[in-house]
Amino acid sequence: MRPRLFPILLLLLVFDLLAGGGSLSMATGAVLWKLRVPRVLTALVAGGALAVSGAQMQAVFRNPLADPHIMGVSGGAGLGAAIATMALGTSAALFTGFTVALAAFLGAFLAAFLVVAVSARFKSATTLLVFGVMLGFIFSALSSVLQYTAGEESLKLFYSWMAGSFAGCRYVEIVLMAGALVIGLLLAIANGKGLDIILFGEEYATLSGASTRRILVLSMLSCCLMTGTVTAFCGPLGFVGIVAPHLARRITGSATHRQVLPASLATGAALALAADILANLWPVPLPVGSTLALIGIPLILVLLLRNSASNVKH
Amino acid sequence: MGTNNIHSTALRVDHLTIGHGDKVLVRDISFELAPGECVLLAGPNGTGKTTLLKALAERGPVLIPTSIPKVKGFTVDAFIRTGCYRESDWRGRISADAAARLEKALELLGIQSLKHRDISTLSDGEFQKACLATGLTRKAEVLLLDEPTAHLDVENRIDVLRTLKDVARRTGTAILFSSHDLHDALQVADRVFVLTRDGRFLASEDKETALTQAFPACF
Repeated sequence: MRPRLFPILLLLLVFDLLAGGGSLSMATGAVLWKLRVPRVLTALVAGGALAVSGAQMQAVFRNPLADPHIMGVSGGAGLGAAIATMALGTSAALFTGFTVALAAFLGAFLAAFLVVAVSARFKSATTLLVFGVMLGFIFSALSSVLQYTAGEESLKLFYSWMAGSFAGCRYVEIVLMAGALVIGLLLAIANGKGLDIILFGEEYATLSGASTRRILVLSMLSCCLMTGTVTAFCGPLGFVGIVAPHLARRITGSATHRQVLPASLATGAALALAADILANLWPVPLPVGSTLALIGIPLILVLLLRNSASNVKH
Repeated sequence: MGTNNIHSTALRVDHLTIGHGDKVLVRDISFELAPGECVLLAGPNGTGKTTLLKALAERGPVLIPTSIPKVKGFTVDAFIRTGCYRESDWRGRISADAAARLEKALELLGIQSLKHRDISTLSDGEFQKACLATGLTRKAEVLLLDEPTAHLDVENRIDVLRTLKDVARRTGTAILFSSHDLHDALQVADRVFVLTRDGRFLASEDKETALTQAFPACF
């Protein structure tokens, strides 16, 4: 029986609105509109965007563990954030969240640009995958070097971004993320039949008349726009991008992207809401990056073990 | 070198040379395929069978490669539609004509009952027929198959080979397939093309003669 995603999503949304600091009476006013609604909307948009990105990466690289951060996007965003908070000075007050977000976004796009630029030279998607992963390691290493030389205030700001959070986004930032989600989703849908055929291998796709480079570049653009924007405002959030597409395939019983993309949008949003509820059950909210891991890791293990550790049968 | 479709010729190749980069594998390949003909492409490993099939595919014929993964989550219907990449719109929808050809192909191959089955649950023989159906839905006049019987057990191998012959006869599609299972493949092939270790292409009406030249040690 396929669970109905919409009622589950609605239920999680209501629970997430009720979760968090402040009494229920307070929740009717400023707390609701200035804190909880933006937080819930952020979780919805960010979860959906990361999940749609993950679905594309898993198709392009035919790897069940691929996620939007695998191409060094998160490493690039981290380096951008590190530069903003540390290298430019220790006066953290000057660097508001928006500056960190902008720098992180630029870092994510630098990574995406490098990957797309070298993709023409690599015939195989696997080689490109290795390049992306290595790029991520280089960016992380550079971030670590910057942290080593940073002051206490800068480090605090950087670590709070790294921990990940759906709280603190203003409506203008949510609109930016929603805009990135809409464009990214449209790109993914337009690339849907390409994402389908690439699952059968590059050779089969090429012989059927598809351009594997076009499929790759379109999906990279879509992923980097969505993941870059979300990571900039919410920090690097793992596991949604890996788990949500698996859940979507499980629920729809299909791997075709006409079904997987919208279903991933819903499962990603549901996962993000669940992680946000768990994070806000405590007097001091937990980092969402950690609650996502706590929910995501058992789920991915169950899903992968049930699929005999492989989505593809030869 | 050239390819033309004329009334009695499904594919004509004149003086084609194949190779990898600067390395020439086979020179001076010339042959014609008639509609409804089923031809075996034989030769030892590394002589260029796959390279030749790919070179021919660039000139129009549909090539079904060997070892296509049976991705879970695709029905036979969805798999065939996905394979019709050029024939479908951006939503992946194929034309009414192509949909009619798909139905006809499933009927011809006797796999209508599998239309809504997940391809990961098909036997290798059934999946090979789904691949053939993709070629027929794409309205191929010439269908090239790279090792269609690789990984198949004896029963499935004979079934797929007979199906190839049947499809060629009944649809007028010219079929050129490579295979290492010479004994079984020879039963259905009308002719044999052979690639030899010394880089020659042999096309003979007499199947035994061609194979003796290709595999002297075996005959």
